[in-house]
Amino acid sequence: MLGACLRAWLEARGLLFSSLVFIFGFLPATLIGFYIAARTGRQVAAIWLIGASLLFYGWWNPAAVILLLVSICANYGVAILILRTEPHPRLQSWITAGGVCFNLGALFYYKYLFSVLGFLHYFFPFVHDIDPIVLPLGISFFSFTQIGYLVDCKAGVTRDRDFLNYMLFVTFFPHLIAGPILHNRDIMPQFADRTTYRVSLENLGVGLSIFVIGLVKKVVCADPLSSWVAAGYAHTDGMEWMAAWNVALCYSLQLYFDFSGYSDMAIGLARTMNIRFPRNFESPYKAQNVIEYWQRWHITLTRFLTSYVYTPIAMSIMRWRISHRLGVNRLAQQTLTGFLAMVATPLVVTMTLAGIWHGSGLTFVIFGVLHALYLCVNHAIRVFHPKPRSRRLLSTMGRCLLTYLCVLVASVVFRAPSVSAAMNVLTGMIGLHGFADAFATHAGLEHGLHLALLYVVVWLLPNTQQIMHRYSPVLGEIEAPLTVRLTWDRNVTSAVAIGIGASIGILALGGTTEFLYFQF
Amino acid sequence: MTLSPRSYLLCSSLVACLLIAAAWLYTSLMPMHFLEGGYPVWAAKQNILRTCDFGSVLVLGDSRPEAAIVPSRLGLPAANIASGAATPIENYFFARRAVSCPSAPRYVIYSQSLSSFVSANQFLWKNAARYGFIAFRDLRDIARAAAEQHDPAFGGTDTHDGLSGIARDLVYSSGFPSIFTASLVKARGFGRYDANIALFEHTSVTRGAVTYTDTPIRTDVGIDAQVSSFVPSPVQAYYFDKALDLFAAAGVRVLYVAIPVSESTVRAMKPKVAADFSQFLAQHTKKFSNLVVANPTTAAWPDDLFVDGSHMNERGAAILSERLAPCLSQWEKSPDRPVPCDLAWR
Repeated sequence: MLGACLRAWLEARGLLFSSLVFIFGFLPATLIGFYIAARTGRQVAAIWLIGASLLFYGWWNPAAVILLLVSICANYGVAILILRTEPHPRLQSWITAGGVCFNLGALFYYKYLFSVLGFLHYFFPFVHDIDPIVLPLGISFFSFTQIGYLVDCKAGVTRDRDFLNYMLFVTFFPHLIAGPILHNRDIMPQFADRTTYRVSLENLGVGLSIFVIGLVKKVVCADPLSSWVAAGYAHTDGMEWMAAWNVALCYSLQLYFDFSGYSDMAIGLARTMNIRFPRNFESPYKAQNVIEYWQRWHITLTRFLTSYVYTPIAMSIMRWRISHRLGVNRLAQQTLTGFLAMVATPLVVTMTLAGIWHGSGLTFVIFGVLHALYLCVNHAIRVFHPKPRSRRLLSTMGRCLLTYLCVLVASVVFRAPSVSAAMNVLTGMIGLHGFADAFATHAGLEHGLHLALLYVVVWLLPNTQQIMHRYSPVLGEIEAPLTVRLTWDRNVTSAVAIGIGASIGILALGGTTEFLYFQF
Repeated sequence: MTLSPRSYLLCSSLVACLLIAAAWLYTSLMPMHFLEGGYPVWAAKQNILRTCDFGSVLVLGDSRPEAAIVPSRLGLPAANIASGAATPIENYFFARRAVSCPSAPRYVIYSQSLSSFVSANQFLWKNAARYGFIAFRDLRDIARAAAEQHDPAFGGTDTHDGLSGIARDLVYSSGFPSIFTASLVKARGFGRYDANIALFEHTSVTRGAVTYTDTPIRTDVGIDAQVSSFVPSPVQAYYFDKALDLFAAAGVRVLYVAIPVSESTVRAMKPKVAADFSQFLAQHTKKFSNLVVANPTTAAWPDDLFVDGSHMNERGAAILSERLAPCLSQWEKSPDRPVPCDLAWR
C-alpha cells in the first residue's frame, strides 16, 4: 500500500497547491514528517523541509532540481565571499556584481534568449535562432530572492551564514514556484529560531484556514473564468463591444482571484509550519490610484523592485545632480527636468523591467511602460497639483473606478497573445467593432450575475488578512476590517465555514466546466 | 465560544469529511440525476451487455458506428454497443463481457475510426472509468500493458485535471466526487434525471441505436482528415489484437466495417494515411482467421448524410444499415469467406 501510494505521488504530474495529490498526499506527509522531525531537533526538521521542497520542485521535472541546487550553491558561495571580502569594498562590489550577473544571466538564458534571438533572426537572418528552452519553474522567483540576499550581504543587512537556513530560505516550497519574493531579513531569522520547529496546533489551524480560503478563491472563483478568457483571446478579430468587455473583465477577475488565492495558499502553508510570510496581495482593486495599486498588488515584487532597482537608480540620479550642482529637493522635483530626472526616469526603467520580468513578449514590455506612464501621471499630480483627497463616498468610488479602468486596460495587453490581439480587444471595448447583443440570453444574464457577485467580493468584502487579522496572518500591519462580523476566530462558526469551504474547494478540484463527448 | 486549537481542527475536518462523504454517496448512488447525456446511453448499452441481451450480432466501436448502425435494420437480432470516444482499449473490455455470456454473439461488427488507433484519449477515464464501467484493476492492467508495449504516450494522456498514473486511476475508478463537480453544477444537482431516464429507455428499446440529428451541427471535415500519418499506438493495437483473440477463442466471427465518411472528409484525408490503415487491417486478416474486412477503403458519401464530417445523421444511418443487412445475411451463409461489402455511394 505504501509502495502504491509512493508510486502515485511520483507519477502524478504538476504538483500544484490546488491538486488532489498535493492536498491528500504531499501536504499531510510533509507536515507529519515535519512535526516528527521537529521533536528530534531543528536541523532534522530543516533537512526534512528542504527534502520535501526539493521533491515538490522536482515533481515537474527532476532534472530541474540540479539547476536549483547549482544556483543555491553558487549563490551561497558568492555570499560567503562577499562577507569575507568586507575589508575590501571594491573587490566585494565586483563579487556582488558577478553574483547578480550570474543570476540575471541564468534568467536571461532560460527566459529571454529564445525570444531575443527569434526577434533578431527576423530582422537579421544571419543571427541563428534556437529551439525554445524549457523554462525552469520559479526561476524568476528564486533568482530574485537570491539577488536580494547577495545585495543585502554586501550592504551588511544580513550576516546569517548558516547553509541550512539559506537553503531553506530559497527552497521553502510554499514560495518556491510563484512567490511571494521573500526578504532574507524577514524569513531567515524565523528559520533560525528554534520555536519554529515545534508543533503548534494553533498555527496549523490558522494556516489551514487561510489555505482553504485561498483554495476556494482559486478553484471556485478564478478557474471557471479561464474558459471565457481562453475562448475570448483565441478569437479577437472584430470582437464586438460586449464580448470585448466580457473577456477583459473575466481576465481581470481571473487574475485577481488566481493570484490572491495562490498568495493565501502560500501564506497558509507557511503558517502551518510556524513561518509568517509578508503580505503580498491586499485588495488591489480597492486602490484609489495607481501608486496605491502597486502597494497592494504583488507587494513583495514592488518592494524588491523599489529596494533594488528604483531606489538605486533614483539615488544615482540624485548623486549625479548633486555633483552637477542641480537641486534634489521637493522644489527641484516640481520643475519639469527635475521631475523627469528624479521621478519619471527611475519609474520608467523600473516598471519596464517589471513588465519584462513577467514575460518575454512585446506585450509585457508595453504593460510595463503603460504602468510607468500611469505612475508618472500619478506622481506628477502629487508633485505639481497636490491637494487633499476628498473622503466623500462618490469621490472614493470614482477614484477606485478610474484606477481599476487603467489597470484593466493594462491587463488586456498583459494577457493578449499579441499586440494586435490586444488592440482588437481594446478597440472592441470602445465599440469600434459594433454592439451585438450576444449576451441578451439567460446564460448571458447568469454569467453577468456571476461576475457581479465576484465584484462584490472584490470591492465590498474584507480580504483574507483582514478576515484573519486577530491571528496576525502576515508580517506587518493589517488594515482593520470595516466590520468584525466577517472576521475569523477559533469558534464553531468559523470551523463550520472553513469545513464547508474545504469541501467545496476539494470537490471543485475536478473543474466546474464539463468536457463532453456525447453527440459532440 | 472559543474552541481549543485541537477542537477547531477536529470540527472543521469533521465538517469537510461529512460533506465530501455525502457528495460521494450521492454521486455513487444517483448518477442518473446529474451526469451528462453520455452516461444513460453508456448505461443502457452496458446493461444490454450485462444481461447478455445482444442477440446474434454485436456492434462494437466508437461514435461513428454508434451513429451509423441501426440494429433493427440489420435483418438479424442485434445490439449496438459502440460508444462515443471508445477506443480498442474500451472495446476489448466490452468484448470480454460479451464472450463471458452463456451465449456469445455469433457475429461482431467492429468499426473504429482510424484516429482512435493512433493514441489513447482522455475519455478512457472521463467516460468509461468515470461512468463506472472500467474498474481500477483493469485500468492498472492497461497501464501495465502500455508499459510492456513501450507506449510512453499513454501515460501522458491529459485528462485536464492535473492527475496521471495510479493517482488518476484511483480517483476515477473510486468515483471520488471531484470528477463529477462539473456535471453537478451543470445539472444544478439533480436536474437531469428526467432527460437521462428518457435517453436510457430509448437507447434500451432501440437496442443501442443512437439517433443523431438530421440538422448539420458543423460543416468541418471529420477527424480522420486531421491525422497526418497512421502509426498505430502500441497499446491500442495490443487491445485490438486481444479482442480479436477473445473472439477467435469463443468462435465469434468479426466483420470489420469502415463506416463511410463525408465526401469533404475523404477529399481532405491524406491518401497515405488511408492506405496505411487498409494495410493494417489487411495484416490483421492474415493474422486472425475469424476477421473479415468488409470494405478495405472508406467510402465517401454525400455531405448531407452527415451531421459533421464523420457521424451520420438519421437518414444516413438508415441507408447504411439497410446496405449492411444483405452483406450480413450473405456472410452468414458463407462465414469463412471474405464478403466484399460494397458500401460505395450509389
